[in-house]
Amino acid sequence: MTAPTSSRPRRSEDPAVRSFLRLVSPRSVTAAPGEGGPAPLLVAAVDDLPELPGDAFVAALSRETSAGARVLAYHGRRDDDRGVVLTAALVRSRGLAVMRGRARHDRPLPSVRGPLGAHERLLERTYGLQLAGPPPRRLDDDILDPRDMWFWPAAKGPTAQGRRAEPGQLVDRGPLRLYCRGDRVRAVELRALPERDVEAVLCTRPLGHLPALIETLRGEGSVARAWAHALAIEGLAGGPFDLACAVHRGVGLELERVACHLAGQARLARAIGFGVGAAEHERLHAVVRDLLMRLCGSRHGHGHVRPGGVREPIGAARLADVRATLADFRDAFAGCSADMMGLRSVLDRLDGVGAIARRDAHDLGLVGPPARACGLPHDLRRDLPGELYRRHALDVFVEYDGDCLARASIRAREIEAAVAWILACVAEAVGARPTALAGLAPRHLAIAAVEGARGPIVHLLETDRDGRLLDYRAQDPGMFAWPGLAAALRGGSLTDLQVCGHSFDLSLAHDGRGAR
Amino acid sequence: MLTVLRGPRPAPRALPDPRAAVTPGLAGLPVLKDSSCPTACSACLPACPAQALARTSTAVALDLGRCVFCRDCAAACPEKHITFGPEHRLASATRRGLVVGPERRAPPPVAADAALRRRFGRSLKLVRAVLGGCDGCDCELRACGDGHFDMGRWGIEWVDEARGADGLVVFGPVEAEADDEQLRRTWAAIGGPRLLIATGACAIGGGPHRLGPARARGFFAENAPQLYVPGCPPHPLTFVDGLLDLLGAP
Repeated sequence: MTAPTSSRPRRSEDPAVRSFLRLVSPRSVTAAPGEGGPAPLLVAAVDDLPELPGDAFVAALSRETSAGARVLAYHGRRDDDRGVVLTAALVRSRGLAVMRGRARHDRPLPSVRGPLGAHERLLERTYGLQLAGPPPRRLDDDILDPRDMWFWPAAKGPTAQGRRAEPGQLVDRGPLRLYCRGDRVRAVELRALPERDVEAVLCTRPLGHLPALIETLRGEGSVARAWAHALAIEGLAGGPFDLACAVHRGVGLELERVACHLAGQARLARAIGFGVGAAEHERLHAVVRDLLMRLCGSRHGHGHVRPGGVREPIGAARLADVRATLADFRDAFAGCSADMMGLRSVLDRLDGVGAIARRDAHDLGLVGPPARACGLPHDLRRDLPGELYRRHALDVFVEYDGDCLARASIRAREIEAAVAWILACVAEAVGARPTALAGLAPRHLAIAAVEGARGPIVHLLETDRDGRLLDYRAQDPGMFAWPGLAAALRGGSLTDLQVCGHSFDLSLAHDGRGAR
Repeated sequence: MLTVLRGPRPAPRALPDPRAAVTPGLAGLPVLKDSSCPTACSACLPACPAQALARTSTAVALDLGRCVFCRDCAAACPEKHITFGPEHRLASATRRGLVVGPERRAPPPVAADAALRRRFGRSLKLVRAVLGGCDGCDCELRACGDGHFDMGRWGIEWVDEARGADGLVVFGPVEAEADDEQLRRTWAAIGGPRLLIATGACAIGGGPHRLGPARARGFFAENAPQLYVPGCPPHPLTFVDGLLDLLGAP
């Protein structure tokens, strides 16, 4: 069952919120000009942020998550021999908030796990931080028994006895290691693969090079990443807010969302053998990518967003092109989606496959469409609407079954909603112009968040006392999707591997490495 | 399924002939004006995030193998000597052919290889070597085989296993020794004769995120690609056209 939730954020006046906000500088929460309200950008002076000791920081973070705050980013920066500076960005009903702490190398940092598990694993891997507390709960332990391991050496090659790799075997696909008995997946391990730390390179490059570099970072979603980068840079430089510019960027973002969802639907249709639906989704995917190319020169939206404004303004010809193309697209997609989501064989194949309960989704820290398919209404366009989405609200859809069918249904509805949103407000994008930006404010922290096709994309920038970039963290939602896929596969059939992977918009041909 | 079959006929192919297709709006082949640049001007060079531009005596030369097509150089040029046209046919059979400038306005057309045509002209199975990166190349290469661009009509298909492939398509940054090792293993698993294609700015030129001179890339020193497909990411038609030119397909 699907129900659009209100796009208006809930207001909360509970004391926990107020006590938390007291920890934060009064200059820390920056709202968009206008009536104020939750904005997807936070700029704070570093000197105004209290730096809590590691234990107190984790205790406060734990209290906030228990009280309902959602952690968007939990990041560390190595600070010579004095330890690691911890920064957490949280979404509360009042907007973005930030906490700072310091972990020391000689003392273990308490762990919170749960929704923060993915962040903490990254902190452990990246900075070698010791996290105290119970080890992460291995969901495999209760169902893995020695029989599952009997034959796995045979999977490497037949021995002299001609032992076969069944009924128990080990299957490696991408970063997943599946322990199977027959075709049943008994346990799943998510392997940490080597990553490239390109974010360290970002701080060494001139500011003008960064947009092009950001657009080619890991994961799909160049427009979303470039927008988050531009928001943060404009926040640090004190750039003015321009609604036409925001609508221009929003049009690119929604086109990118439509394209990513269409590609995912096509791959899902092909994985279940529904070739007719796959071909039509692929055709529509090309239509949307080509429209994005006519707007900015790139099928992936490179160059659509630049700090300070836009580079290719939308004029009358482009406006007419967008309207005509999307009007045709809307009719074609309605038929195509009805064919796919209304077909009994498709529903039977997807229903109940790779289901994740709402509570598990919360504990795993799922984001984006997979989270909304489990009943978690997490969407930054609703939680942190800013000026743009407050004027042009966008419905957020949730499903409650958490299976592949729910994930496919969410994507189909989001495509329709995105096209309707573009058609409703694209006229306001006309007239967006670039503006010159001043230098970055020294010793400031900026956190910008944009809801991409696969979830929130969060960029965290910090400047030093000369106004140069000291730290850059570009967080991709893919880091939350892989644990979700592992949980969805556990206990299911090995034949559902491709279907589940495509329902999370993850490619198993890929080994899970990004450019990081 | 019967409902679908009984329903209205699906839309006709959007690209009935990809060889004749054009890409209006694409930021494709750079157009460098004939007029010479002022002697002291080098405004475009520091604007390039990929170090793809070099100053010649009278103008600039642009290495398409490194270019990420961000067009920051066009915005930085005070004389407006650099623009990007919609031409998508950018593939080259040689690395040197990717450098455009006053002497060469566009990469030379890919010459058909008779031996490759005889062997792979009717059926060519390709495997993609994924080395990370932004996934843009992966998305566009997959699109080459989908129902829209449909390179399968020339018998060219993607396969999952190197052992069943005739050629290797490399994309993503080749930076570490482990990448070279992975490429060597994959290359060795393909029985000869075989085809090697380098795709995208990361695989051809090291990518915009490289720290300096390439530390690895020994694989490409040992095995020269037969086809270079530049772009960031390359348009699907760039890949399809370059490959068909190499195979001598009509």
